[in-house]
Amino acid sequence: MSQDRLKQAFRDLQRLDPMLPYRRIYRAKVMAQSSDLAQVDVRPYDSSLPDMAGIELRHGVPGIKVQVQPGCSVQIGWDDGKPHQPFAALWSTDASAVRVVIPATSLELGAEDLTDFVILGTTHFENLATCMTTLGAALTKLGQVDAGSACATLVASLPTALSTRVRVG
Amino acid sequence: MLTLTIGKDTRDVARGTLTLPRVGNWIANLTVNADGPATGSAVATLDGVDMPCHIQKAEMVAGMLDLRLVGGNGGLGKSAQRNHYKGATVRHTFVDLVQGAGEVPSLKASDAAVLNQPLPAWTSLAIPTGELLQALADTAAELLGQDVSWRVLYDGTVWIGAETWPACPADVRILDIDAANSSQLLGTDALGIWPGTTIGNRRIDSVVHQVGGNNRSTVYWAEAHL
Repeated sequence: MSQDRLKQAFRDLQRLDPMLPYRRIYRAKVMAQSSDLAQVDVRPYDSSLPDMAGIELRHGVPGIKVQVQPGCSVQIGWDDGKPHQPFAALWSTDASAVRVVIPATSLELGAEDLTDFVILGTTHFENLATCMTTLGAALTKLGQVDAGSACATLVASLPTALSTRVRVG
Repeated sequence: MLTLTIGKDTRDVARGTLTLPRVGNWIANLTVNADGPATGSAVATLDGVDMPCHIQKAEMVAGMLDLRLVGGNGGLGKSAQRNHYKGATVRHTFVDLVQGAGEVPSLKASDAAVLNQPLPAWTSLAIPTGELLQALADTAAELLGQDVSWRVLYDGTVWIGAETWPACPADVRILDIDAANSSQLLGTDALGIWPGTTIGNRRIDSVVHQVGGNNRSTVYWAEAHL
């Protein structure tokens, strides 16, 4: 009994802040997304909330834009508990991206601070490997076995050095 | 003189207080001679000024009817209708909130600059309408860079805007000053002493009329910094 009274007192205390519902986050279903990918229309799962259109979408990475499949779930809330500052963020695991745009001047994948950047596509890399393989075979035929072997070693090492797969366009 | 009209019956108020705040709704705790409890709407008449109100609570005590009244139709304490706006103005949101609570917005008296202020977005959740009106006033203040208030006027309509602090039209006699509480006791007809006006250089923040007993009194509280 005393425990119930304690809980009730705590609930009453919470109600002292009438804006408390604006200081929570809620799960909502994405119904649509704006063409610039910056806003979403959502339908909260909590029926005490209205449908909300044109909610600012945040991904946690500055500048990034993600096109998502409608129907996935996202969290919604209000900055500083203010009714005029709604936002949507934090995707649920059911969300999948159709398109991701990262407008960064430098994008590093894999290990940090490497001096070489991935600037060639898969075809160019394959051409390079073919060229080095041909060159190594020719050197071997010419009796330059060590040099030919070095080419083969280099080709074998390329997939490890350029292990990140990046597709542009 | 304070009377209370419930239905067709007008009764003198035996005793009680009428509190008019600068922000929010006015309330009255009154005791009248009546046969039984009452509900619904009523009109408090203060020196000839009708003040429509809602009976929030009524109880018979020792043969007298104790009443708690709030200005307007008593809807501001009820949960607002949930709604979301994109690219609306304060006017749109204000009218929806007030009318959704069964109250009447005072659009002519309200501040046009505040009403026309665009809102980037607005979400009304199911919390008491009065709380959302305060949040709306705070939002308008933030966007406009100036203080914005709201209150229920004496006629029961809901006003929003920036204070202009006009001079109090009543001819007041100051009977006593409580400097510690920044309040003054007035001897005057109450008519015209409303929050949001100015007496001398003192801005009236709230007014309390006390009725009954040996003396009727009117006390106002000024803004603390004056």
